[in-house]
Amino acid sequence: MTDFLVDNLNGKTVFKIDPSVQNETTLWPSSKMMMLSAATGSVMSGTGGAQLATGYWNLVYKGVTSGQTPPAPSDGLYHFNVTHLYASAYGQPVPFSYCINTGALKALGSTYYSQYQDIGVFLSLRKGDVIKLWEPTVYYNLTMYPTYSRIYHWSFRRLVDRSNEISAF
Amino acid sequence: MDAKIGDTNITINDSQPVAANVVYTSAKASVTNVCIGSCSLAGASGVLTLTPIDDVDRLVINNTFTCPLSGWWIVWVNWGQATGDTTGATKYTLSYSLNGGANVLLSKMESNSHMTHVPLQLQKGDTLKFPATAGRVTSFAGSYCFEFIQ
Repeated sequence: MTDFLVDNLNGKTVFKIDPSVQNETTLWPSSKMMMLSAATGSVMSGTGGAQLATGYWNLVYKGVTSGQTPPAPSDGLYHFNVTHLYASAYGQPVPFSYCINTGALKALGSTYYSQYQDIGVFLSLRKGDVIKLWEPTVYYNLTMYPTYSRIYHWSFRRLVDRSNEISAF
Repeated sequence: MDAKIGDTNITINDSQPVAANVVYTSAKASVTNVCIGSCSLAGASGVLTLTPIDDVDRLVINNTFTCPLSGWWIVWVNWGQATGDTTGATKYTLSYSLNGGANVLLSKMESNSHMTHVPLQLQKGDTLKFPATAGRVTSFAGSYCFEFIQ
């Protein structure tokens, strides 16, 4: 692999790009373009990995693959966002869900008909909470990953930090 | 004191040591720059229904957001439907209305749901409402956020 220095945020973000795509003129954000020095702390982002047999998606953060986001760094309000491509001219919306830790799945959004789009949710979380992303592995006889469904990038950022909030008496 | 909204109450207890004798009885400043909640299309009203969570300052009332702080805001809305129509001609629109003014297109949706956003420069006291395609009913519980930027 070749290291590329990309002036993305502050000129220090380093991507490692897979040789299979490094000569392409257009690079889509993917696990083949791993951010190795992404921002940490209250703002996290990464690329999408493979979908698991359970329907949960792997998320890649600083080169490490996991079936969930990194843990919330503190109590607060958060924004979890996913950019997804549904690579099919097939007109049936595909539902996405998310869960907090091991909680129940809740609707996140639906992708549709060759669209490259964002879906996301705003949440009140506790320190250590993680978010998992879920999609049916097979929907209307189409196997979603790797042909029809791709997670290109995701972000998980804190909007408000509750841990330093002044307590009311 | 609370420089943003000016209504923080402070109580002084002379029986406590100097450092501990001042207590905040209402601390709101830290939450006035973000307001989140869930949203859905009610259909009959033709307005996006906003259900706030963790909105201690009551910035959203009756599907209307009232700006608490002048500056740049980003309005985020994840809206649409979970599944449903496959007819290409079926499209729905979501707009925003500032201070009861004209509807400004925010996004269009066709048989899916997605995150959309708009940056707005707002003045304290400005109101925002979200007219949508009238008559549309969906059970999809989306999500919204009013985020103060600077």
